[in-house]
Amino acid sequence: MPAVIDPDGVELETICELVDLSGLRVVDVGCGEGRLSFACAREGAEVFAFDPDEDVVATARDETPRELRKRLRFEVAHAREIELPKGEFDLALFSWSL
Amino acid sequence: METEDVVHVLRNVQQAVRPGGRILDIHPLGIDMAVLAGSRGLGFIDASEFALVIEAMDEAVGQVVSEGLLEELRALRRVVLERFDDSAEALDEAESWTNLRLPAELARRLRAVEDGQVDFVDTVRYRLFATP
Repeated sequence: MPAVIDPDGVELETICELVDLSGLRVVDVGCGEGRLSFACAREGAEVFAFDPDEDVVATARDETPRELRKRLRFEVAHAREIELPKGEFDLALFSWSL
Repeated sequence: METEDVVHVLRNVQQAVRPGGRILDIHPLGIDMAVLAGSRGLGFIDASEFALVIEAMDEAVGQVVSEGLLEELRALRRVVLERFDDSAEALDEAESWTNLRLPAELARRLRAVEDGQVDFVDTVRYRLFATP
């Protein structure tokens, strides 16, 4: 079994202390396997998440809970090259990715 | 990511956030990274090279702030764990590191842990920025 990052849920608690995620359009830059993308979607955000690693994006897609599918979209892309629409998002999240 | 890449990426992502929107940077800092076997402390990871990465990243973020593209609103620090089922998994993870190092004595202590979960403990910084 792979490592569990943040088993105590400190990250989401801290994000929610800083930002009310409900209804926000979020871009998750370098999302990895979607750990925080899922968490944001559960809090009511609509999330577009991307990562350059095809394998982790495939895992994120496979592991997206059914109830979150309408609020989550994953793509394979690099933050240096992706063309993001201007002013589209309320919040950009760099989760261990800068 | 190289410094110029961080600047480029921040500019690219910043333009995609609406005026008055937010950018949240979550990053481990590698400060006093302890290794625990259950509740027993085994020692500290050498993060001296990682500190240089953080310094370069901070410089890049500072550049984008100085361009007026971001305004820092708040910064918080929290202790976050990375948990492994056993010491073998933790040692495997340590072998994949590029800017962190497991000191020999700590590696020896970790190998000697026979069972039970292992935690790597790090300080994570949460920086919230606003877009103009």
